[in-house]
Amino acid sequence: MSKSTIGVVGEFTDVNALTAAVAKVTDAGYQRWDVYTPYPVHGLDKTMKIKRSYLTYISFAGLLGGITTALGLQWWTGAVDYPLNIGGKQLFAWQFSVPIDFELSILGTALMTVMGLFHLCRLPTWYNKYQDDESFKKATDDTFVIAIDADDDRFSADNAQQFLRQLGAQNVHIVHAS
Amino acid sequence: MAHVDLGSTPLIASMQKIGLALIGVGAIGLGAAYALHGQERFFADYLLGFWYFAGISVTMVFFSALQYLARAGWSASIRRIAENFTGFVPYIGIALIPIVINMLGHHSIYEWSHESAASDPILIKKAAYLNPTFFIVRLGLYALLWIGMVKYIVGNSVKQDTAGSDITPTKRNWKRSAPWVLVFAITITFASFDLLMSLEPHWFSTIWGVYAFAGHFAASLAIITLTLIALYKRGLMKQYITLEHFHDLGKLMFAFSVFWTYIAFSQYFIIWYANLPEETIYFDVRTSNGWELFGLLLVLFHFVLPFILLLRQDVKRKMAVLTVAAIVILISHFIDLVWIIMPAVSKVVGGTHMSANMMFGWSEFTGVVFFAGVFLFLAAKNYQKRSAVAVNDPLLNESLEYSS
Repeated sequence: MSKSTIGVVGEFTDVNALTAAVAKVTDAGYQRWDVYTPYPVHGLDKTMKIKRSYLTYISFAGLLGGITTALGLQWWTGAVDYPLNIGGKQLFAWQFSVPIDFELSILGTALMTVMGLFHLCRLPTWYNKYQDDESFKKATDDTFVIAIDADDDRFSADNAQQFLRQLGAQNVHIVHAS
Repeated sequence: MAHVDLGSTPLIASMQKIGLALIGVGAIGLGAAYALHGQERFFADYLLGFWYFAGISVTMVFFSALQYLARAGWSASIRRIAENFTGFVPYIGIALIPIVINMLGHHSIYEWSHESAASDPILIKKAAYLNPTFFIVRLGLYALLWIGMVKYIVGNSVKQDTAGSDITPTKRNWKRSAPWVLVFAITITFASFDLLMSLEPHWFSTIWGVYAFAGHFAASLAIITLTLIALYKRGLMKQYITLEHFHDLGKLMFAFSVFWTYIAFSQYFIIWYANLPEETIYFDVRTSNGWELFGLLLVLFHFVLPFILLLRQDVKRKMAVLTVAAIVILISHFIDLVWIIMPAVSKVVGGTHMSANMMFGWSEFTGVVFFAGVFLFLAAKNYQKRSAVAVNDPLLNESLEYSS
């Protein structure tokens, strides 16, 4: 029984050739594929037409949660559950609640942003399915790698390999599960 | 690179014409204010317009100095826009003369200069600082230091245009911008104490200088943004402006609207919580007789609207949104100054209670219109004198290539 196919990878050494190839792969309509680079390549996300993440909405939910907690906590503890007259001050007023509202809305936003980011990046992930491939290992050093996943609807091992070779990729090969 | 001469373009020509027209309209308006509303309100309106644009033009020098201080690359191609708006700074000393005349005259808008101040138990203790001679000396000193700052920072920036590959002028600014920023911080703080806070001589706020600076900086950024949009839309300087510049100016406008809010609220919060009569009086007179409306408008225009308009990432790259936000910030700065100055002048004491009559109408616009004219006219002159881009700046390429 042949080992199951994970995908097809191809190597690039020039960043401009890579960007041109990435644009073509995007245009070809592949959905499940990725680029692995040794350092961040500016503009690559735009070339790949990666959609804007919904992280900001997660952050905003964190803000609403934080400010609601802050207002609720100050009002309920101060004016409802245990009203305590301190120097004749009001039991609750929006004015004095602002510093806590401010801090807790920042805390809520920050925590939800970090957790949302982990969720959206699927972290923690302890492995990558390509990790045992030699090309992929080179992507941590001096090579750019385009990998087209086998679970893409359009994937066929022959077509994908031919396509990557046409784009100028070196050492194009199929990656099997180990 | 070749100089970018915009001096003869229709945009700068109309800027100059609009400037002259505003000076004319403003001068007539100020005259009418003097004739119809009397000298007290006239000087208040004059101070309002003066401080609006004097503060902004000094803050424009600070903007430039700040870029040098931080060795900022992003702003190199647009820094000259701020530098050209400093045209009014050398004339601040002249524009201060009416304020000095008012202070020396009978019953000025500055209560501490009245004869009755000698028998006021609080003002007598402040007389060592708040007296006419020292006041005039301080104003003169600010005017001179601000001229020095413009001559040094903007002067070196302009010298770099023709210095070829020799970057000595830029290096000078890199070194000396730090002390000049310190000078700016001290002068803008004390100028705001003297010109605005001393309108309420019994009252004090130690955060006042930061408050004044925050408003001016937000307004300066709004003016830079509006000018950049005008230049960009007409295709002038097109190769020097990228969307990244708009994005960063949008971020700064957002940041400094929120910063102003932070400072303004800090001031309000501490006074509200301590609840001491000599401190709360400031907000007391400003939250009755209709002035509370201005306070609410201030919250709306200086915080809520800029916050909502500029929060999203993508809107900072949209000219329409940036234009609206910048105009909102400029309006808010006007509301801010009206709310500070006018109640101080229209204050009345009835029995034991002090309140401020509503004093807002057409004449409050006259000073601002006049100084807007002066500000624009002198800025347009700068475009005729020098390149509109710091074409020889060593960081220019960085400014064209960066992405924010």
